[in-house]
Amino acid sequence: MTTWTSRLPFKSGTLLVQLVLLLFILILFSFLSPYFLSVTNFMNVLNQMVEVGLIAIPMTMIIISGAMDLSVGSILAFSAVSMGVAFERGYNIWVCVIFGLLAGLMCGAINGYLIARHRMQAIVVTIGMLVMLRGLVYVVNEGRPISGFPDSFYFLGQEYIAGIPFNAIILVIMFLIANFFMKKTRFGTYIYGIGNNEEVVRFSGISVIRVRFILFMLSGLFSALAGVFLVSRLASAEATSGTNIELDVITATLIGGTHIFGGRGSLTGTFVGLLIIVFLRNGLNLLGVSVLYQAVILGALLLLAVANKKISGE
Amino acid sequence: MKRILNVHEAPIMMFTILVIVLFSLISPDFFAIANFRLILDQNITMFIVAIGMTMVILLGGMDLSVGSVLAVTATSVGLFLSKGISPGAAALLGIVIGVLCGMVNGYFIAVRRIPDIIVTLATMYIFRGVAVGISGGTWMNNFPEGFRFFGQGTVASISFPLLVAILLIAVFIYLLKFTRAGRRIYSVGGNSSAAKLAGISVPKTKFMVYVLTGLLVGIASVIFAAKVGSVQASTAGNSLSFEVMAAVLIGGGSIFGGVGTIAGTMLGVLFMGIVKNGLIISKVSPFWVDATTGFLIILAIVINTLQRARQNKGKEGDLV
Amino acid sequence: MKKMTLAVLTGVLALTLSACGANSGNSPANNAGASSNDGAAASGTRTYFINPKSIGPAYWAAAEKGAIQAGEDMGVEVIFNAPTEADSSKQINMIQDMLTRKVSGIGVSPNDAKAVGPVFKKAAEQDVQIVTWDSDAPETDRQYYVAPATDEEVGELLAKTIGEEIGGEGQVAFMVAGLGSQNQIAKSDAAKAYFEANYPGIELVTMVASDDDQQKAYANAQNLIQTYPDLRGIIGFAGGEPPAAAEVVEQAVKAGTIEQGQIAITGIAVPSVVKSYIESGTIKTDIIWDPGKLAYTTVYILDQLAQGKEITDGMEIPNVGAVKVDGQNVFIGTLEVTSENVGSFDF
Repeated sequence: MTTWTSRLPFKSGTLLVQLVLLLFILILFSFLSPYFLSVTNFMNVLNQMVEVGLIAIPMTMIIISGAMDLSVGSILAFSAVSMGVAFERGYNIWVCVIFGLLAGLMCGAINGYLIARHRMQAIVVTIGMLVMLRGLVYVVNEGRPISGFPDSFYFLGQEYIAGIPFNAIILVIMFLIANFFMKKTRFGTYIYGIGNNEEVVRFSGISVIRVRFILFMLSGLFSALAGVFLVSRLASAEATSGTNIELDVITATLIGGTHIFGGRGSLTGTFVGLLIIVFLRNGLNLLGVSVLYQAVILGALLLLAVANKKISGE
Repeated sequence: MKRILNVHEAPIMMFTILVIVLFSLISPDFFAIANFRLILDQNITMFIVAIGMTMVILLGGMDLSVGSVLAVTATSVGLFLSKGISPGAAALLGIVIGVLCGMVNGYFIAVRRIPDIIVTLATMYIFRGVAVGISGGTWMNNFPEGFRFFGQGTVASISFPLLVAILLIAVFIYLLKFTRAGRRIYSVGGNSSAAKLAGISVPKTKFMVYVLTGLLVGIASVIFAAKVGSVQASTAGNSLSFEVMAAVLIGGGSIFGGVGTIAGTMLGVLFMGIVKNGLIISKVSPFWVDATTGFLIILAIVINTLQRARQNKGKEGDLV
Repeated sequence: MKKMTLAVLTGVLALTLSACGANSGNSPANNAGASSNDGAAASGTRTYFINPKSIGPAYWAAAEKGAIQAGEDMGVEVIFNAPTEADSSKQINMIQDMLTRKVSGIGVSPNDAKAVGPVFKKAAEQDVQIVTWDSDAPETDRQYYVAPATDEEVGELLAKTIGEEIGGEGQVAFMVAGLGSQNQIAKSDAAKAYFEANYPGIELVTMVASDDDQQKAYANAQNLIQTYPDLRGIIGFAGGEPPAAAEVVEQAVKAGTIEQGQIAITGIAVPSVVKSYIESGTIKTDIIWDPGKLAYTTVYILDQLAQGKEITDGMEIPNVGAVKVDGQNVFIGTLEVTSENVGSFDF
């Protein structure tokens, strides 16, 4: 046990680099753009980061456990469109939301069943699911966007409570709950354990299968939740939504210091990583910097964040 | 060891045959020489890139940047051609650029020791940005007739790019199976600390593999540009890395490294190509094409895994 | 610790460099940059955000030139930017960011007509002028829609062209960029309806999607020819489809699988991209409009709105000519590219 806990984050100040980077980005853009440092802009950014943020929670856990889920974007679209189709059939919107969440949970369960129970390689299974679910989305609604949801539903993604976007509040609460689970419960310890040494965990009589299965279910559920919030924010359920979102999610997780081979990382780090990429993108947008340079800068930053961590960490 | 590897590819081979039979029953046009040539022709780029990806995955790594490298190389070849550089020289320069991209990946992975997936995720963004940047947002097209040879020419009535692919496959099968460099790749992927103890330089091996992958992607992108006839920097090779990775893993490779063969990978590429071609030839509704492709990928993996589980049962006991 | 401080320092330095590098590299192009911001606001210069579906395709690159040109001609600041992929959520994030920047107007080519509704509403509340171009978002707060013609008209024109070329008889296949994209659906539906109404002899065999990937479009065209040996025509509904179809047909003709002129191709494509195929006769007619003029018109209309001037039918726009205004729609008209005039286009 001690070997695992000694590797938990926050001991050696691994987040220092990330925090300095974030602070630096904030200061830099405050100087460069007069519009950056304002409450409206910050709330705006918070509102935009919710979908990526929600998925980043289970993704961080899955990466810590030494696996990866590439199907999240397709699960997001599948749940969103399932919800839309159910709504078109005339069900109450909140019933449809539950239906969408169940759809995501089911996709996660399929992933989990194949990966945990049958020990298939997570990357391949989730690539397969990525292609298949995206295809199913087109089957379900023939690619046509679904809209016309009731106003009460738009509350989720568009309303502000005390000047703070409602969905951002949910995101922060989710992060806090998840962080608590990762740090204070046995379940969290198991996740770190599996990432460090799966065999040892198994021999200690813990069901690795169950932990992995739950993780992928969570990933499905959170992707679906992100889908619900996205539909509410955009007022439209589209077949293309969530395309390539897995790259954003993984980038945020990795910038946040989670180790790609598992065993190390933290949700706090992921949150900081998330803030880094959204503020970077927002700042560059405000300056009118072409997205081409934005991609290059993001790539360079990723290398930088991790390269520095390697030097300081080991 | 060799016997196990041979058996290793059996399930996917049988599944491929099953899919072929199925498509042949559905559509009479499928089982025809012309169509098989078409399938080979459509997947040349995949075949060549997959050789590199097999080696990367053998090391236990992953290269997400291949699509972006393809875009950079193909775009720069287009630029060279439009500047009036002769087709042969432009192709060579393109391949050199591919190698350079490989060296960038290799430097960060082997020398700076940053995990593969992070480096290639970053270079995926960077190279894509560079590709669109140098293209100025315009298409590369109207290539001279001489350049078309690399994608469409024939030598002794066999398509030139196919010959290149076969040659490369043969060379790399030989390299991996019968040379020390190839053995090193397997041992580093299988157990890198043991390889280190055995005196193998892990960074050197990794660097070499990424440079070779860059070289292969360079060659593939010249063929890609010459074949398709136009290059759009922002989308060229967009989904390439995932597709090639899936092919390697369907072909029996393991994401944890040390397991897999080039022959298996080629089967994996062929399988994906057959599925994509067969679904359209069988006149499946366009909305169902992707869904069915994904389902077949998962099925292929399931079959692979069942086979592997049966093989491993004796060794590991009933852990699962 | 020393090592780490050093690392952080290099990181910070590199980021500064990259940020500044990006700035200076970009500012001449869009006349923006941080330094000019305050000055611009003080002198009352208007800023417009022109937002295509994505950055990268040749079509949008041509549009960018027109938008920048319009900015120079009218003495306003134009920012032309979009995500690298045609993704509606990323597009909307970008529009929100630009609203924070307090632009005077936005010209948007929405990836999803419904999804831009909320952000347009927000823009309207801030008194920002809203114009859609290239793709429309009806039932939103947009004031005008700038287009070559309606999607229905373009779809029908394409159907008519191919119907005439193949004599109203035979199998036709559609090639689209995305099964889910609205303007593709509208155009292909219109073409399909036109066939049913006017050419009962034409059978629409299938519709294939390339997801904007050139290689996929190319493979799709190959598969079409293989699957439907009696295929007589292909309509490509987006910029990447006609050249891919033409390339495949030319190669098949060369290989002797099909005869010259057996498969007629038409579609929407930028002339420079299909020039060689039109010259060789593989594509007889290509439908296009000048994306640069479309973007120019968008900026012009935005500027008129911002100054409180009226948009009237037949109004003369410098460098573009007279435009047709029908309700909230502004049409600049389509062009037919044939072997006779293909050399005369500069985009």
